[in-house]
Amino acid sequence: MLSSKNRQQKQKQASNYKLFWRWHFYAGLIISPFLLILAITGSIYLFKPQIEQIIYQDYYEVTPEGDRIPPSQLMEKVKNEYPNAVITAYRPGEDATRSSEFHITMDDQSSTIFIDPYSGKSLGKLNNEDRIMDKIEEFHGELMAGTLGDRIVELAACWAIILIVTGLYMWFPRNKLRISGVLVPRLTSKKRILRRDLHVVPAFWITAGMLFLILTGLPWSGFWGTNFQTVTTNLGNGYPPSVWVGNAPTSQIETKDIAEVPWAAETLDVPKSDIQGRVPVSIDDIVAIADREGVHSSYTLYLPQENTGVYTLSAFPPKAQDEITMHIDQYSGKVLADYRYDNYGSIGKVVAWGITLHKGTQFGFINQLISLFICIGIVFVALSGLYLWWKRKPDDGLGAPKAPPIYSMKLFFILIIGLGLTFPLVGLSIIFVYLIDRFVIRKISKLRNFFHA
Amino acid sequence: MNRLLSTSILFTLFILLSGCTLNSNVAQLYKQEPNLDAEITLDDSISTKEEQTIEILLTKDGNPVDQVDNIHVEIWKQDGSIPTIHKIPDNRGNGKYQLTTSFSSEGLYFIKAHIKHQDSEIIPKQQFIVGELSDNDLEYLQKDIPEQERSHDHHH
Repeated sequence: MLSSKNRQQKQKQASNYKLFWRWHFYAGLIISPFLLILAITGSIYLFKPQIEQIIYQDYYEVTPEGDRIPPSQLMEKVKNEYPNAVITAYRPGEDATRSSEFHITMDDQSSTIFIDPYSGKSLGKLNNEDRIMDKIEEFHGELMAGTLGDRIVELAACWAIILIVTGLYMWFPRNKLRISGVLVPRLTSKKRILRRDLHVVPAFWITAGMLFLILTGLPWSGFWGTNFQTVTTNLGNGYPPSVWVGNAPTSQIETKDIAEVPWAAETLDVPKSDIQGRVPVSIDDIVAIADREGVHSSYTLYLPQENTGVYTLSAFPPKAQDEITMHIDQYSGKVLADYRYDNYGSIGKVVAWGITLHKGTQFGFINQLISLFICIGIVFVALSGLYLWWKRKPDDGLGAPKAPPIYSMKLFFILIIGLGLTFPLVGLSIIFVYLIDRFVIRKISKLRNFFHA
Repeated sequence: MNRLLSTSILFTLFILLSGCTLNSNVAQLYKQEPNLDAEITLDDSISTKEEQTIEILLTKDGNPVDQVDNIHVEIWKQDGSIPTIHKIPDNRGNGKYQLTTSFSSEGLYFIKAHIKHQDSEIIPKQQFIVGELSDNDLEYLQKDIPEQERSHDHHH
């Protein structure tokens, strides 16, 4: 009696195992290329500060000599040099030896002009498109494929959570707790076991780090991230509006009070009352306000592009606690909003920390090293997983384990539904796979055999 | 099973399609800034002959502000041909601050008030014309208009 019950339980366990294995198998096969891309581009992007410091040294470094030229005069120089450009932003430079920058758009291209604030000499122009680190970031964030790429990256990240969950289930020792093959790979055993251990054991060790990178990366994803930010901002717990989602406030000055630009060619034809009125304060005034308000020196000042626009000071320095987004009325220098880390909601603070940790800037070099280690781990685990599959797979198929239907195991079913609802893209992709399986694979016997459906 | 699946499909689609939007007054949930405003009033037409009274109405959240920590007015001419005028306006009560000055030469002028009240500082700036504009003033006012869009009427 007892033994038959035992046997039943064993059977149930084995079939559960196969279910997890099958999901892990397919998810891994599809997701691992993307995880490889994310881990490799990520480990390069981690070192962006050091890399850019080296490749752009001639643009970045200046020798302090005498007083700094007021930004309004530097801006005039840029205007003279690029008369057709629209100047969108000014960045003074975080310390005395860093050049100042003007961001411009010209012929539909965004570029940065570097200028020596002491001599006023232009140090050169860089097209944003040509910046290697921008390319890497684009690859990391959207596979260079715009919105579609962004959604794929998001999907891969979410599916990686399913990989982690199913992987952990299979890793967990079923019989009795042991160390070899669980926490340490069995190096002396047979090749088959060694191959398994080289995937399973390192995967366990990097699980926490990988999950951390996924969860801290998701808030900036285009679909889930934007919705997440909107919900938390709406609840008052997230970033204040305009830091991530939402627009900057507009100037409160009425349009009729704003001075107009005369179009007439003769002074006599100029309608005086239109010309008299509010005019924008100068960029020098705004820089003085930034100093007065103690804005972190790495800030970028975005210039208003229309009548109702505002000056926006924004700094996202290495440490989350130093972040600031400040909006200033262009006609009065009035601070319309001043959002610092302390003004973020509780979730906003966590997300801000997550981002600086994810980027490896929060704790400097040691942070970069730890993140690099996790990335290398992900590469190793993805490759060893693929190798494991390659070595085990039969010649006539993928070698996926045959498993009972998903709803035969309630807990797993609920978990998948839960993940599908939390991450709607995952939900959609599961529905998509289900439909393909139901209406294509199961109808064609060749496919059925190949996928072990 | 099928019912469960179709319910979850519907729910997922609902979430996808109902994509969230930001509430319009969401900023009120976060840190607010003091709302200090100043309105500078000058005559519509100013000549070099008579004295000009300039009034500044200072309000906070729409209420007049009678106690300022600092108020100081700067007036300068676009072409820099006269030295900058610095004045401290008189407090006339009810949020009104006044100063009188005269202008010896015609052209485009700027006025900027520096006002500090408690935690907020503002520097409202306006431009105004005394008499007529000079050609230099007109050129200055039109300098940001792109070259090709500038009117070429004066050629005929």
